[in-house]
Amino acid sequence: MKKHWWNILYGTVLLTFTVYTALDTFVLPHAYTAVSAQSSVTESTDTDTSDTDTVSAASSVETSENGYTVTSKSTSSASSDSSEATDSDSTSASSSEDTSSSDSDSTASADSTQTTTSLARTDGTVIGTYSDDEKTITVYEYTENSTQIYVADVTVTSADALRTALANDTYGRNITATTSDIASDAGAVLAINGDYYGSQESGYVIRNGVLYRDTSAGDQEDLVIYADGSFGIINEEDVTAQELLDNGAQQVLSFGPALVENGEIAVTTDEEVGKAKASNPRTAIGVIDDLHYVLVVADGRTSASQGLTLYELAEFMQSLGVSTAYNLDGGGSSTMVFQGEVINNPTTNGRTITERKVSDIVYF
Amino acid sequence: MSSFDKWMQQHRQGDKTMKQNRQMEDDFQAVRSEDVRRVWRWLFFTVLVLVFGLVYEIFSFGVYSNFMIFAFAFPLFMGLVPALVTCLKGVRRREGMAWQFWNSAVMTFTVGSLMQGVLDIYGTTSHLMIYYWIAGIALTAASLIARAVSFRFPALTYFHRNFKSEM
Repeated sequence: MKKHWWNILYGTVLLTFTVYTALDTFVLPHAYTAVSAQSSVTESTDTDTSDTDTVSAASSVETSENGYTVTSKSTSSASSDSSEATDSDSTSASSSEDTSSSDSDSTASADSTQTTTSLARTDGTVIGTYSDDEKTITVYEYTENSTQIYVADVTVTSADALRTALANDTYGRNITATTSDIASDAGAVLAINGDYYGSQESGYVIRNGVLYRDTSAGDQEDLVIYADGSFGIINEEDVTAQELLDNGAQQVLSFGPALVENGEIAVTTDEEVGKAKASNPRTAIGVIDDLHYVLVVADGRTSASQGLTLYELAEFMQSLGVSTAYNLDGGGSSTMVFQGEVINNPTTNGRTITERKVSDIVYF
Repeated sequence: MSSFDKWMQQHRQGDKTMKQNRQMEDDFQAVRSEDVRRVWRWLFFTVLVLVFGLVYEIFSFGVYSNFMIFAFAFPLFMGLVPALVTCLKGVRRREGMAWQFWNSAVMTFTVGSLMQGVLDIYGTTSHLMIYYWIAGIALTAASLIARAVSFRFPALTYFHRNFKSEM
């Protein structure tokens, strides 16, 4: 016993630390504060207003002036003069002259001409529809690569209809709720899981115009959703979160990789994202045209639905006609909720169909 | 001193020498047995970590982590191989803090690697992981320092404290 005192002592310390690390990583909730907050409606007092055409153009110019590269920008213009970018009143002052600044009073205007572009493929089965003044949603089910794929085809009249929500309306780690619960709290008609930002300690987090995390994850591709509803793919090595915010980013989702850019598949057959060339449940979001989006969730890990590789998912997104598509958190997190009902079969282990709790959702 | 007394003295001395030789042989056998047991322990631990990593990977739905797959390398190269060399070459093993630090370093690296594998496969990160590697490196350094000290001051080592009287 005396001979082994060190082994016993150190073994106890090592075990205790490991248990604490596991609890800290997976269980203990930590609420954090946002880096900076901006309200798109109440705080925007800039005088320089712009229409959506200007937003996209200005963003492109801005990116080159700031020395970083936006690798793609899915929409170049919108036939709207009311879908405006929003910006904070103070932090963007220096860049407001060449960025997509806003007119707060017209944020919620819905004079846009609704895009009528339909999906490029029509072989899906319609399993649900919804329509109101702001959005039209049609949910299809496809079977491809031995996988059940759910596609929500969404057209909106205002970019503001595309929003994100945090679990328990709180930013932090291990603060989670099911996609359906978050969707219910947010009043969402259609929702999918987001990027599960809470599982990472780095990677930009901008949600609804609020910068929550500005720690770069290095060589990490992010999806940026601008105030005009357009999509952009950026690399965190090339641009800071604050610059994105100043350029009118409303949402930044940090998971990846980009599946489709400028209509071309952006992943390779052996793409792995650190880990994921195997067939698995997937969640993705794409834009087809101005204010026309697709949300995609693929079931997997079951005998009924095998799941998709990233390349298969990219192929499928391309077949829908998207110009930009981005991979979100998959696996057991992949969930689509439509009018309060989970319409896919979320599973972590393939044996039980259970919704996993996640950090955030994307919803309409 | 009579010749009988001389004979008795020589006999006693011979007997004492034989006892000492026998004791040293027993000690040597004990050390050898401990060396062999150590090899088996490290082999068992290495296989255990290897199997754990492989089984974990099997149930991780194609998501892999090199930290999980190759975690067994730490007990293999830092535990089993040195133990084998010690056993086969008959190098006199020195017990003491040097080896205890070394074993702790191997355990720390192994557990840290497995933990990192779990986090990788889950798709998450933790700022606490760095402490496994810091502790492992610190313990390895401490072990090397303690080993150097034990050669300079052998009386400080556990082995010599316990077997000094017979050596």
